[in-house]
Amino acid sequence: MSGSRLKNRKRLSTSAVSSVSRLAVLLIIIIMGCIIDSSFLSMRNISNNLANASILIVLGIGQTIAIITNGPDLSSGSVMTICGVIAAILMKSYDVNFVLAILLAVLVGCFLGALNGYMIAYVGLPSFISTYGLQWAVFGFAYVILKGYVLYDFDPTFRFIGNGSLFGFLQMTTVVMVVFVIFGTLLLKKTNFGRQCYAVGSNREAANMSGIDPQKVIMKAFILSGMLSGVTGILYVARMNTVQSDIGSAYLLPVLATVYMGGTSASGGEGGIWGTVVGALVMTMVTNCLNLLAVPSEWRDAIIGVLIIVTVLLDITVKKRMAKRKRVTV
Amino acid sequence: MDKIKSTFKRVPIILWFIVVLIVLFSIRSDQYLTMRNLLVLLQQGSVLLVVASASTFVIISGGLDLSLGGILTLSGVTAALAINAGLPIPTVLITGALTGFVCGTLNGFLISVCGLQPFITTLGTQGVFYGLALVLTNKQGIPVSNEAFISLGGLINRTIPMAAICCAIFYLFAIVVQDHTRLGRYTFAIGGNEEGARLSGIDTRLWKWIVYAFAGFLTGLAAVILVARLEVADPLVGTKWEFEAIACTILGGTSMNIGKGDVKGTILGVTLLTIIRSGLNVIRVPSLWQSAVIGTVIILAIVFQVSTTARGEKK
Repeated sequence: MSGSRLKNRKRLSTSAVSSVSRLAVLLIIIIMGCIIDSSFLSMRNISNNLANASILIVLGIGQTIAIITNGPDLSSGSVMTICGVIAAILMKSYDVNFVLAILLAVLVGCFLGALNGYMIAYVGLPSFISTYGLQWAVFGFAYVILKGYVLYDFDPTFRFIGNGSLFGFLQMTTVVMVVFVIFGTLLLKKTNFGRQCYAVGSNREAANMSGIDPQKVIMKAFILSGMLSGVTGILYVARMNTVQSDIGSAYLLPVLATVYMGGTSASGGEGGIWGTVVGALVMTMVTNCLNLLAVPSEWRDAIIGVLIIVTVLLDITVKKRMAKRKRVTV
Repeated sequence: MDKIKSTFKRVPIILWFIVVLIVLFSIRSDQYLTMRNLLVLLQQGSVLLVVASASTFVIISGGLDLSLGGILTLSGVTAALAINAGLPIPTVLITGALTGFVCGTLNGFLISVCGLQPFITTLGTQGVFYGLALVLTNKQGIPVSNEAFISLGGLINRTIPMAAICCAIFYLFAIVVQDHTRLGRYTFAIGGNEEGARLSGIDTRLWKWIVYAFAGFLTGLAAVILVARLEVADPLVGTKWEFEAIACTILGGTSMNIGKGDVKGTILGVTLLTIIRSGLNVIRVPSLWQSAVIGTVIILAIVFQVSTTARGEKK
């Protein structure tokens, strides 16, 4: 009994160390930002950074749940797009009340997530393939629905979700993001479903043997991911006040990078929402720094690519060191 | 009767898709089954075939390469720079292939030596390769005007599809490597059971590294032909190629997690994709609908393909 508790504490300390290393990366970037521009830590800049990170974070929560349970949800960018498009069209062309429009759009997100879940859990496709295929089709349909137009100028009450602010500095997107971060963390850490996600992700066979229905869990995880992608789409539309049929395509790679930089393991069963939050902050602040430095846009992809590799490399090195030390003490 | 049934069952499901689509397209338009259209199809599909073969190698070894599109772009750019600097054509081919090889070596190093996951690594290096291509080209396409070089990718006398011939040579090379060399055998061994392969004396670390380098090399060769065909090295040309290559690999019957598959099968996936894409134009589907239709057909084909292979494995 005491042995297992000891092991538990050790595992916790490994994850604590790697989250410290991630926080260190964040800190380095903040310090660099301060050196570049003294107004980097001004209230205004912080609140902007938080709001910009929010879209990445909400999208990242769904992605994190999907990756922990089974594998990446590459359709998240496209689901985000189509949900934004549907909500926008309902409000603009059919004069539907915005609450109803949001509900319907999120429902579509859930449905697409369920489609993914079905293909992965019951047909047995690798998540990578089924979600990518779906993305292809969904982007196409978003384009068809919108007929290539751009919609803009929405109801101000609706726009408040993305554009409004509380007490002058706290932007509404940030508030929405915090609500979903709390929701996601509680879901993963405190509920049965959350524990089942980790169990299925780390060893599907073992989870099955211990009485979990892995197919159901995967299904639920992807429905959640679809739902959160839908929410992100609505946040985006409310914040930017415009919608096109390709808004999500620019988010796919950054959101994957965010989640993986946050320490969620690509092989499943490991990771969490807080890592994703830190990853998204790193991503947003690096972009902010690059903007401040007026780095030409052609260098950005390369810099972000290097950043992804370096963070993950650091994470792995730290974990290896810890594992070695553990072996020595045992 | 049973014999006929069993032969029918052995035909890959994807071939039925292809046959049905060809029949459908030729009924709708008498332009479809003409020699001219066939040549265009060959020219369009051939470069994707080589990239998809590279992807097939990586997937059989149990990995994934999302940076192939980036490698394709970067190698194309270096090849274009080389030809515009007045280098002879063989040197240009080598430049492209070498660029791809170096990129692949970097991927392989990070994955097999540093132990990073292929998905994340190649996601990161993809950004690096695209970034380098953008920097080298200054965000603008580099036009290529050397006649001899362009003929490598063009239709000579409107009848000889040079791009298809060059790519067919590279494709045959890939098949020979898979069937008759150690690299091919070890790819299957590593994909099937990496630990087992290591215990039976294969230096899995080295060979995994080589698999990625080889995939980069093939993609680099394909890039040279692509630039010759398009007559320009565009810094964004590779977008989505890696995904198409992976989709074609899966459609060709390669499995993502058990070290099973075949470069020879990949040609079916490429054929399907090329046929749909050109067919929608020929029967005049409005461009608005095309991407939705292609996506739906591809995902349906993949679902059928994977579910039939899974059933076969259970038996």
